[in-house]
Amino acid sequence: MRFKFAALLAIAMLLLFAACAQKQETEEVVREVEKEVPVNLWETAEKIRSGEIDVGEEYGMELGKRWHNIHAEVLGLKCSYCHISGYADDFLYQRRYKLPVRDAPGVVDRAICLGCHKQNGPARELYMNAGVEGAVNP
Amino acid sequence: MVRYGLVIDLAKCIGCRSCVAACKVENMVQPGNHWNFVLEYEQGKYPSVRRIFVPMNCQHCENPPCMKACPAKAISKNEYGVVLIDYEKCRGYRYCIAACPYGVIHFIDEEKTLYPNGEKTPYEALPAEARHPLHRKKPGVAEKCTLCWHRIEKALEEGKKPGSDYDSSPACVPVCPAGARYFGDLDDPSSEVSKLIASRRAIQLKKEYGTRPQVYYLV
Repeated sequence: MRFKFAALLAIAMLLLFAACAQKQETEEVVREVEKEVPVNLWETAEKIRSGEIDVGEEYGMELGKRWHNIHAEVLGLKCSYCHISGYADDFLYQRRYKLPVRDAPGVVDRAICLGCHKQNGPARELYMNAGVEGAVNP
Repeated sequence: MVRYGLVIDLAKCIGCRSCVAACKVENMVQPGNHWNFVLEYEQGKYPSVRRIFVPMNCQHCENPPCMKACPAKAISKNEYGVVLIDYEKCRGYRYCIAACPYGVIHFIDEEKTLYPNGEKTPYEALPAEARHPLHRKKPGVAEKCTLCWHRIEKALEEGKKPGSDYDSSPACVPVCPAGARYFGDLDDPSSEVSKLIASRRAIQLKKEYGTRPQVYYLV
């Protein structure tokens, strides 16, 4: 009985620790962006949403369209901030030495996006917070 | 509620790419694009090295970031938990490709045929109206795995249980010679997929994104 309780407590603490680590990681990414970008992310995102900052009407990934207007022009992110030279040691996602998709114009680690596009983040929510119980695999 | 998903046993997968070939043929995926592909990596150090194969396809997330990112609202999740792209609504903005943390959405930039001389195969020569809406792909749209929704839909119409036989399962499942792929209702505790998830160590990829994938990997 005592052993079971101790094991459950250990698992709960592990899950809590993992969730905290994840939160810290995304906060670090936002801090890094803030360091890189000389604007207030929350304020800028709001101005883009309200139309106060003009990012163009045309959607698309090409230079000159909204995507790069927002990230490169308004936020001032350098190309190398998103287009990294290679994946981290993350074998379950992509082969590190060969891109299986031809659409990726260079490697972009979505962890960069997660920093701002997380739940309750400054940018449009794309990713949900996994929560304590869902943050790690068993 | 029904929530269809896949379970892939990595211990059984031998990396033969039968699933990749079956998907290509079934869905007429054009050269260069892959709705289904196999990642591989090595584990360990010589001489104790092991090769691991990880078949990848759309994870049919419960919280699909591609759906949220699409400015044209062309991506939807149906009542059976399958994430689908409407080719009529898709404007080719490619936001979905950028938002997907799994790299499984592809863009059709030009029409390519499976025959190397540019000639169309009999199926490719079919007019769009003669095909299932999910096979009416055209240049300038994004495409991805549909979990062979055209097969599931047909099975449901015929009153069959999806996954019960060859024709009512996604094409990649019954062709696997190692029997590493399982398809079924994740919300039904008596289904094979639910039992496997409950009894084995099942992981979902990129859980930190909160996407809640409906593809599980047994490790």
